[in-house]
Amino acid sequence: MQDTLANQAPNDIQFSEAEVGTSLWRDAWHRLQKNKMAVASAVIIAALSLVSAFAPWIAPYSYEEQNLELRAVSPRPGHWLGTDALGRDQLTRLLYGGRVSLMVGIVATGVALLIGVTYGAVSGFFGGKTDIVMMRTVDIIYALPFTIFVILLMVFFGRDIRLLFVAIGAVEWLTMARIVRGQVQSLKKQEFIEAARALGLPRWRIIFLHMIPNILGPIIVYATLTVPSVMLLEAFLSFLGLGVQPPMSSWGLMIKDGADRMEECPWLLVAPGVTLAATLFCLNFLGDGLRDALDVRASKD
Amino acid sequence: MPLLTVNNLRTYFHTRNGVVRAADDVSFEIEQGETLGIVGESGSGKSVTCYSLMGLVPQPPGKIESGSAIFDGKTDLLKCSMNELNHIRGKRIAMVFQDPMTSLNPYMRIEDQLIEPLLIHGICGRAEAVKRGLHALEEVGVPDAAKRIRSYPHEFSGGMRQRVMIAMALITKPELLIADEPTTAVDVTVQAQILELIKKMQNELGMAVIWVTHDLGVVAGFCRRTLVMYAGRIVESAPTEQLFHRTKHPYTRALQQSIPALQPKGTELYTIPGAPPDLSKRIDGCAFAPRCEFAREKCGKPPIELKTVEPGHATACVRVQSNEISL
Amino acid sequence: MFRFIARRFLEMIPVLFVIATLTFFMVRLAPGGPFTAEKSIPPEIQKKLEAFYGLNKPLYQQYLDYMGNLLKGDLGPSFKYATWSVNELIWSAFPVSLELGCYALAIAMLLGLSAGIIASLRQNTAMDHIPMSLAMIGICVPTFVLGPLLILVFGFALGWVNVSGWDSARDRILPALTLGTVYAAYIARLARGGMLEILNQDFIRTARSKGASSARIVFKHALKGGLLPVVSFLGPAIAGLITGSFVVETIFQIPGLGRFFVTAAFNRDYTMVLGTVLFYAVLIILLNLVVDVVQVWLNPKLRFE
Repeated sequence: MQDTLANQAPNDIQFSEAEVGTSLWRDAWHRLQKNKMAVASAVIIAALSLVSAFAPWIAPYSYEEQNLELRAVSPRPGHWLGTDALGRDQLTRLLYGGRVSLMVGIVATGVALLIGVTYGAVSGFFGGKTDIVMMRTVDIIYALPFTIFVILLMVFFGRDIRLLFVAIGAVEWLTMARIVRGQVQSLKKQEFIEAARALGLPRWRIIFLHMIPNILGPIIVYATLTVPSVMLLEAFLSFLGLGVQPPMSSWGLMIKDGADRMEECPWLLVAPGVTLAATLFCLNFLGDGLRDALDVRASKD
Repeated sequence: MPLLTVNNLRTYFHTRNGVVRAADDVSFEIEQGETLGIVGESGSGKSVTCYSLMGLVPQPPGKIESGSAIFDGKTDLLKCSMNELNHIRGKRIAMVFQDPMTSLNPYMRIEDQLIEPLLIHGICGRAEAVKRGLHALEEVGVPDAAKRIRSYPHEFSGGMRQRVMIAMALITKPELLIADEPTTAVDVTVQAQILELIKKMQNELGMAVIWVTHDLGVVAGFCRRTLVMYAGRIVESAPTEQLFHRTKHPYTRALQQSIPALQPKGTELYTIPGAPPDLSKRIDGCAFAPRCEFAREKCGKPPIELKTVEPGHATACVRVQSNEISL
Repeated sequence: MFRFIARRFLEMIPVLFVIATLTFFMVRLAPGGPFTAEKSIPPEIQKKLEAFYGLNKPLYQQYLDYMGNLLKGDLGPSFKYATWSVNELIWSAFPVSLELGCYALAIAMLLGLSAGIIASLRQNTAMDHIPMSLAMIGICVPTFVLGPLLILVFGFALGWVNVSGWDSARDRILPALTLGTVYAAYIARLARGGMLEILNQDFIRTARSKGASSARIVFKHALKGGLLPVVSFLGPAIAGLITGSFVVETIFQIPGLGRFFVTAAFNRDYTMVLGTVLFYAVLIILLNLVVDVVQVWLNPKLRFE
């Protein structure tokens, strides 16, 4: 008769639905998917990247091909975005410009990642004097206008596009180093690392199986946010004439041409300008979305 | 006439997972100069009740669905304008919070924060306020007050910060002090000091105090009357002495049985079986029933209301109300 | 506080030293410089360079002379303009850039702070989403896209302002807007984030419980902490304003230091480029020092390091 719930041992308590645990990554993926702007951005970026990567096969003309009879014409069939003062098809140049931006984005960010992660991990892991010296160096360099130094490099040592990639990457590694070092430092102190040590796990296992997966999140977020910075820097340099050189095409160069002639040929300015802004916009949105998705504490409910 | 009359307070939180009924039909009174304790586990609704009275519930996602809280027979704290509320809080009703480490503004000097209630309510000018602030600090036992009043919070220890909080709350000589677990976040040695301090101030100022805690021992030494809350509802209300010696609710009894110091040595420690309910799901009937050794079928049926079974002593247990059991 | 400033000054010295040494060697290594076989430089300039660099003396002597000149503040003769020295060029152009920079910074702070603070107070409403979306766009539209667009609309299409130049007061508007908008966007986002973080803290709840009005809470309690991220950002923002000026001055044909720098870079006027870089470096370090001092003043926790 006394069949009350209290007579059941606590372990028998039934859950109403089976509660399946989710890993951090799956949870993050889930949250990212719900962020429609981020998803839309990702789709746009993927599309742009594909189109740019296949530019040599897709583009109707070559980027340096000049049609002197159709100089500076407004958009029309055959030249969907018009032509510039030398008769070069704008659509083609836009695609090739995208290719350059894509390459810069990937390579320069890769360089920044490589240098930054290594530097930051070493500094954070070893701590002590090494850390202090390394971080002070970063602090001092950070305060200076590195962009100006990139300009210096480009001025003095030629205009090889590969140098451009390395130079830009060398500018962006600083913040990555700081982030990685901060993460490694806080991870070192966390209890689950102590627990792993207490369990007798070898150091390499701790680093690769426990620390690195936890650092990946911020690294991915920051890498995604570095790409637009890098692209912007390239466009900036090209605009000033210090980056990509004609006859190669870059969005920055196209914008410069457009700005010079904007009274007569406004279309030369609008297409690359809008494309650049849109790409940066999507990349930033995606980065923000990733950050929100991966940040465990940023739950809005 | 009671200083504060709370009737049918309902504060719900509208979250992604459902509506959490944090405070569900809470009613009580407190007289001038009376000391009232509110006891309950985490999530029982004791803090939310106090925040509701002070207008500190974040809305959204919280919302005060219904109820009234008449202060001094005139103002309904739950319905009055922000302006009116700001005239009362900090001046006539003051609050001391649980965590002294985070409850003081790290970017402001102690002095500025301490005298702020006096300035906000126009009680006196700055020069006079500083004098009173210094005096208040000395009253609560901060050593070297004259020098330290210009410091920043991070230069004080936890216990000292809590004293500053108390001084700050009492500087306007309020009629009601709400203390939300003021000793929970400080060291054990400091807990007793804080308790003694509030006792002393209550004596001197003759103010009413609502002391919210999960620690039965604290109410025993200080509060004349105590409310016990569970799952957002009041389950028992009695003079503290009666609460301990002649409790009339199974939950209160279980709480008392759980005090480790009172259990015979060598036996397994008693714990209340089960877990507190999920407040986002509707609870029909008594919320404690799933864990109660006295539960019967009738306990699962609404309405469950607080009824007075002896003078000054009310319980929400339907079986005790109908004299089916006595504890 | 005083020790803090003194320490920072001392730290400045090795940095500048390194930069100066680097620049010394850069000029020697650059193709088309005075030390290479390609003597494509007009003779008067060649003479001045030789005097400045002491080309006939041993290397260490040249280095010492060079450093000596720098300490005196002499940045050498221009590579391209026979009658001008780098110092003169900088002094003539810098005040213009300074003026532009101040306007841009003012716009950035005013616009950014008000938008950010209001957005934080009206979280998740239209007053929040709209400014923040505009801010996002502001960050993504580079100065060299925004500038020409503004000229197109307000200069050519509407004809309200001149499309270039720095003569009348109205000429200041578009350049300052172009330069300042990006930073307004960043500041708006940072201010909003900083304020939101502060407004959710326990001590704001304490302030409310004391009966403080909303205005009091925002201005006396939240602002100091909430603006910390904005102040931290001012350091990089200043560097950004400088690099931004290159573009803006080029687009709007403003006779400022930025445009001189760009032209010098393009024309391979090495001494001018280096001189300007050194000048900027000193400027930035000094301004960063000011920013750091302000930060310490705002955040008392930093004072005990």
